[in-house]
Amino acid sequence: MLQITNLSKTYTKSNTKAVDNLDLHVNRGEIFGFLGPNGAGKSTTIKMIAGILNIDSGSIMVNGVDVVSNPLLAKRQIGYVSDNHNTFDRLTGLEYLRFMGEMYDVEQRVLNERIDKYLTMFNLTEVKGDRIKTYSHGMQQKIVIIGALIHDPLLWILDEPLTGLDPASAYQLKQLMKERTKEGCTVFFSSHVIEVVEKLCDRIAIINKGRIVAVDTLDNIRADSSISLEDVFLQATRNSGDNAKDVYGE
Amino acid sequence: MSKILTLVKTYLLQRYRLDRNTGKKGKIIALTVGLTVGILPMAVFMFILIFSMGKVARYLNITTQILTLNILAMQAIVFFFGIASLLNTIYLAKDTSILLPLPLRPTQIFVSKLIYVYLTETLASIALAIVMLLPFGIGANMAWWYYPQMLLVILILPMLPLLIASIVAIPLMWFVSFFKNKGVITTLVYLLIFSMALLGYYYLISRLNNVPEDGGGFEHMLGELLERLSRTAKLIYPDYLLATSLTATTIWQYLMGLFGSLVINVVLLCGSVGVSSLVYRKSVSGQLEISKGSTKRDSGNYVKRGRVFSLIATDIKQIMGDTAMGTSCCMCVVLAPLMAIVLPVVYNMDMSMFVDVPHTLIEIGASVVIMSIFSFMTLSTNMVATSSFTREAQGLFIYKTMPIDARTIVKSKVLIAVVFSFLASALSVIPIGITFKVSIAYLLPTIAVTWLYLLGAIYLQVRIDLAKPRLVWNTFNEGAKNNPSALWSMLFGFITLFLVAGIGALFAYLWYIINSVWLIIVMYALLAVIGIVYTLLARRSLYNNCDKLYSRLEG
Repeated sequence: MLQITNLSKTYTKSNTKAVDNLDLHVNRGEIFGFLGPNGAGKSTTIKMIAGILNIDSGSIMVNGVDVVSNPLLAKRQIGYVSDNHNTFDRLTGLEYLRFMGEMYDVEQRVLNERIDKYLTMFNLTEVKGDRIKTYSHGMQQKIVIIGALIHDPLLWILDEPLTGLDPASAYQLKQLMKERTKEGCTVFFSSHVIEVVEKLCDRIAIINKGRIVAVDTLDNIRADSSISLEDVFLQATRNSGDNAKDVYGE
Repeated sequence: MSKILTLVKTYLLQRYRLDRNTGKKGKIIALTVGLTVGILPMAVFMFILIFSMGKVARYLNITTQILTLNILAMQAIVFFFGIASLLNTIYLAKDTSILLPLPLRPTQIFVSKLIYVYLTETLASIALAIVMLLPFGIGANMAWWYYPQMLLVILILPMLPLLIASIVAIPLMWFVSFFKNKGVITTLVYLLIFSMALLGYYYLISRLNNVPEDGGGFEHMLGELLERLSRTAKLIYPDYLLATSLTATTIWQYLMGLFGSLVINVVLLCGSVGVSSLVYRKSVSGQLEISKGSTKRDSGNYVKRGRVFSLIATDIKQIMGDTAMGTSCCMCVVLAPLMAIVLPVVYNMDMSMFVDVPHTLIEIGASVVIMSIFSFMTLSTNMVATSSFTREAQGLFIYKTMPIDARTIVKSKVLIAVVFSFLASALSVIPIGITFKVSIAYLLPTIAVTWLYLLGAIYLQVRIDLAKPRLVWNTFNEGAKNNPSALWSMLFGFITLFLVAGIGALFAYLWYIINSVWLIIVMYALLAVIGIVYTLLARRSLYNNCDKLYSRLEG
């Protein structure tokens, strides 16, 4: 579903190599966790997949479609939830969702059905007519999540999706991720919360200093079942990616 | 096309939708009424001026040429406001990270944003047409179709400036992008550019002031002027055609003018859209790159200097690190001395102008100018620096979580404003003193009195800002816009100006009659006493209320 090959990105202003020759393959129907410390390159990688940042070198294929040469087709298959939940906050929740539906050419009847379904699921029905700027942080996050699902994307990309959500909504979101994968869609999300990744993901990748230091199923990565993912994460990121690839997984 | 229209509708809602809070609506209406009342006299003056221009143009049979230049002047205004609007809407907009992941072509986003800017500039064109085209038509006694035709002109008029702006915006945005996140350097570069632009502007004015007189008499000069006007007007061909459609006497002339102008504008606009949208995607994507490694490494040599010093040092770093904020706060330091140097040069003011005036009178006059006009200028350009709490935005609540009393924070805010204001006034005193050969005996009390009034104004300004700061804003311009405390700052400046100028003029007149040095001493003493009372009252008002006001601030 998602194939990243030799992906690199340098921020020219600061001459910082944010992503360094990154290779990653995410299968259809899996929940894929993207772990890494602050500044490891998670958000940069995600922003390049979503089409926000330009790619310096390498390629990204979404369902066989190159995001550089055919960006519109690639973007139609992606539902992206950013880490800052930036939105048109003077629109009402309903207006924002209709706007998203229009941008993704969702048919009117289907759009209304999905809006009703997700608003009910995330308990936002009562505030759908209110301006987004009046929503709490968590509510704004939920409306952005719904906006990213409104066109039923094959690949759902979420950057730190659980931060700021109340327990009920976090549970709903996790359930939704599982449901999406059962329907054959793929979920790719970044997180700092190791416990969530541990419970939810089919496979994970650990990124540090722009390079993948481990990628595999949880069991394979741990090698020894007595070692926690937290220990693996700390050890892998401490090694700074020098030879961690050889130690863990692929 | 439907996606473009949806995008435009969304931008309009995002920008212009009013809050449902009726209190805010009331304030907006009050502000609009206030501005209208304030601008009305100027608008009436412009109306009469353009009306007279229309009469003269009719008399000299140059209505098309003058109209062309009128349209050009309107377009210049649209251009200057339009370029800022284009940069903020297209290249530096907050919504870029929302729009880029959507399945939209860069051209669709670019065009939708351009239409949005075009619509807002068309609104500006309506206001401009009321002031510049309507009175001209009445004055020049134009035919009835001139007035409905104005509507079409309003629609076509913003095209040319916007297409130029969209091209100019590309290198400008690269420049902004290059200096983005460079902190203090950017602020200094912006101040340098601003100074250069101001010097250039005044250089042009000084050149105009020094045009040699024509010996050919009035008729020759008028003929020369008309010839130049005609030539200039015809050079701006799309505008000339547009003006022709307004002054046409036959239907053929009208259609040629209207469609000619429309076609040229649309073709040029399409060309500029083509060029601009090509670079749009790459440019905005570059804007979203966050520079993390450009900050200077800390040397590690830390010396403890106390709370107030730490607050001031942090504040100055915050101000200078934000380009918009830094430029605004340093504006007084650049503008006031620059005006003090440039204005005497531009208007050829040197000592030879005052050969018949007693030198003491010149010294009194120069001192009064420093105390009144330059202190006003310092205050009005420094209003942002003095709006200390507004400037903090939500960051203020970091201080609220710390064990620091309100008095300490207020003290640091006052001192910050003092640094900027005193520096500006001291720098502007020197060139004025040199130009008018003002002795140190006058300059020292002048500086002392000026600083006294500035200090009083700063106390009062911080007091007002603390009472109702504007803490919720995303960009600095948004924070400064309609900031009531900043407007109060200007009002205090005006009061100071009138008070000091009035007292100065009175004593200068008395000195001219009585010619006693005691009058000058009394003048300074009177100004100092008023200044001390004003400053003490303002200080008391600030420090007596700061705990209560500070505790009232909520996020």
